[in-house]
Amino acid sequence: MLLGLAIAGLAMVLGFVVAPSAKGFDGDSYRIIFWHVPAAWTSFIAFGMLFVGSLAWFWKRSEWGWTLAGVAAELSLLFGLCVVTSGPIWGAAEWGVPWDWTDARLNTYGVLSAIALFLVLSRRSQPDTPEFRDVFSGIGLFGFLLVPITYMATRWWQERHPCVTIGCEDNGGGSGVDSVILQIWLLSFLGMTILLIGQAMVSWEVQKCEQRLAELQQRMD
Amino acid sequence: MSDVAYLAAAYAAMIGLIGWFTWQLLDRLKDVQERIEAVEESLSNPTDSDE
Repeated sequence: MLLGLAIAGLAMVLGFVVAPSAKGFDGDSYRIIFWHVPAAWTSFIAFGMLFVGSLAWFWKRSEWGWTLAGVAAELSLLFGLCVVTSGPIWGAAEWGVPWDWTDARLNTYGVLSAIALFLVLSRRSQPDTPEFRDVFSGIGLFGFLLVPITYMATRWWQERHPCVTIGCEDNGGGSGVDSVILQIWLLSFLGMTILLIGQAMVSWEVQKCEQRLAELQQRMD
Repeated sequence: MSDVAYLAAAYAAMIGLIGWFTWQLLDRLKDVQERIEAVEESLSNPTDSDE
């Protein structure tokens, strides 16, 4: 976790002192992308983990799938919250309004983060029954459907959110950003991914310990 | 507000979220490990827990 934070922190500093100004953006507010965008990509990895865990529970009734789904829901919420808090702050600086309700990318990502919040809260408040696990996994599977829709939203219905810059057709399928910005971006993504792995390992241990505690308490009863 | 102030607010929010999440995760791990130890101890010494 510390290594991931250190790399992401380094990328943030490089984004301030090394990265040049970006075309199409006024001032320095665009420098939010050095954490905002990698956090969004990392949240997609977490939603992918949620999909795999939910599918494993539905298909195989797998305990590790259930544990993975719990870990992934928490991480999806964390990185989702990073995106939906930093995005509106940038929007206030660049657009003059924090949120545009007509923009598909913003709204689909908002729903995605709300699903992660619902999953985390429901898992902590509801008894652990097979029925609850089915509902949780069903919502987890549905939530993942929003990931490709969110990713493609700026191509299909672009309103205000900046266009996809990696692999964008407008850029000939390549990257439309300066190579220095791209390198710092990827460094930040590496840091966030390492952070995600570290947090997933600790969260996995927490989930296993909570399951063990529940078993022990049943034995006591 | 200036661009730098918006940037500082955005990065502070993200650092705060990541820090809070990491702290509560480690706190939960410590708490649940202590509870497991306590339950295991009471299971291995049933007479003590009856008193």
